[in-house]
Amino acid sequence: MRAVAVLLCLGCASSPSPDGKTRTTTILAPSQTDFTQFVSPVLERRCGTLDCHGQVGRPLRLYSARGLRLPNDAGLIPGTGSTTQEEQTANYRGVIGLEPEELTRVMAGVDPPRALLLLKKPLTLEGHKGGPAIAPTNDPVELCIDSWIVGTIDQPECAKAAAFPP
Amino acid sequence: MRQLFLIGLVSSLVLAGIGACGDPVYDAQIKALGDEQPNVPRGEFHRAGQPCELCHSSGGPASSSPFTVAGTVFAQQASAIGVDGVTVAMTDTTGSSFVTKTNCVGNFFVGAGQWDPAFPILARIVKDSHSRTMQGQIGRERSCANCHKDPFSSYERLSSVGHVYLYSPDDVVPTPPPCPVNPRVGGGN
Repeated sequence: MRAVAVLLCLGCASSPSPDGKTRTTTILAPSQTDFTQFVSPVLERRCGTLDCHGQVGRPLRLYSARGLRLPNDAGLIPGTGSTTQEEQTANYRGVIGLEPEELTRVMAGVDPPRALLLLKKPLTLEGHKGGPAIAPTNDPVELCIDSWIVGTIDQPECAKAAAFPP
Repeated sequence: MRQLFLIGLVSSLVLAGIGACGDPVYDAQIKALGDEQPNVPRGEFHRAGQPCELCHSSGGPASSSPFTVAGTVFAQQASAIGVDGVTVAMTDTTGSSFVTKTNCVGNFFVGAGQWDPAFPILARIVKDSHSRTMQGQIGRERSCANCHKDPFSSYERLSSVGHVYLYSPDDVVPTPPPCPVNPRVGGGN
């Protein structure tokens, strides 16, 4: 299931619903299941600390057990329990929603994965407040994300990228 | 006389313009720290538990003594008493390590000339038979207190891990050694 319908603001290139009240844009997105199981732990560990993307003020906001928590009734605070399914879903939506159109172009093979901010920023191909977070070549984080995008998840590289200490 | 008035007017406008060029976000963060505690002079014992780097960095009011990493180690989760002589061991992403110790209010600081780590860094605190290791890495924050702050609301509890502390609730906390200032936050002298 690679097609995901994302509600976007009025005025975007999109098609109206039958009742004309909402507009939707169909985008291509990588597997949510693979993201939850293999990619989210990498981003949580490598990018989601409280001083980086585990902050409500960041455009790419990541939730995790050791970082920022979604509001919850279970009393979960940073450092307690595990990352919840709701938090992983929020992470998926955050990553997909960062550049839905560009992601679609990458998924369609028009652009390379490095066209995505998700990789450009940590590679410092574009300004990144946190500096370089991925090595220029053969970094397990990039290999994991690449494999997720092409639909053949590289579990060993993802496990390596999520290992702590890094 | 008229020339003097004009010179004064222009100077005032220029100075006002310079003053208005500050970073309002940064200025507000520093203002939010409040004034110095009475009886705690500026120096190594002041402002325990506050984000040191806010001032001790390039462009800050204490830029003459910049820190690369700094923070405070307290006794327990529910105790804002600083602990003396705690070893703070840090390792950066290149494998470079640095070890320092807290002073009697729990403050530690690494000067810019001593160690300039490549983030992320790992941190561990040790004293006698007690130790704690950070569960995660420090991504880029140079002041412990920016993340390790005590939450004031249930909403803040979602993004705060509380202050850094060494002892568990069941541990017997040793009596603090003599200190020029009260090691309890807000305790003055």
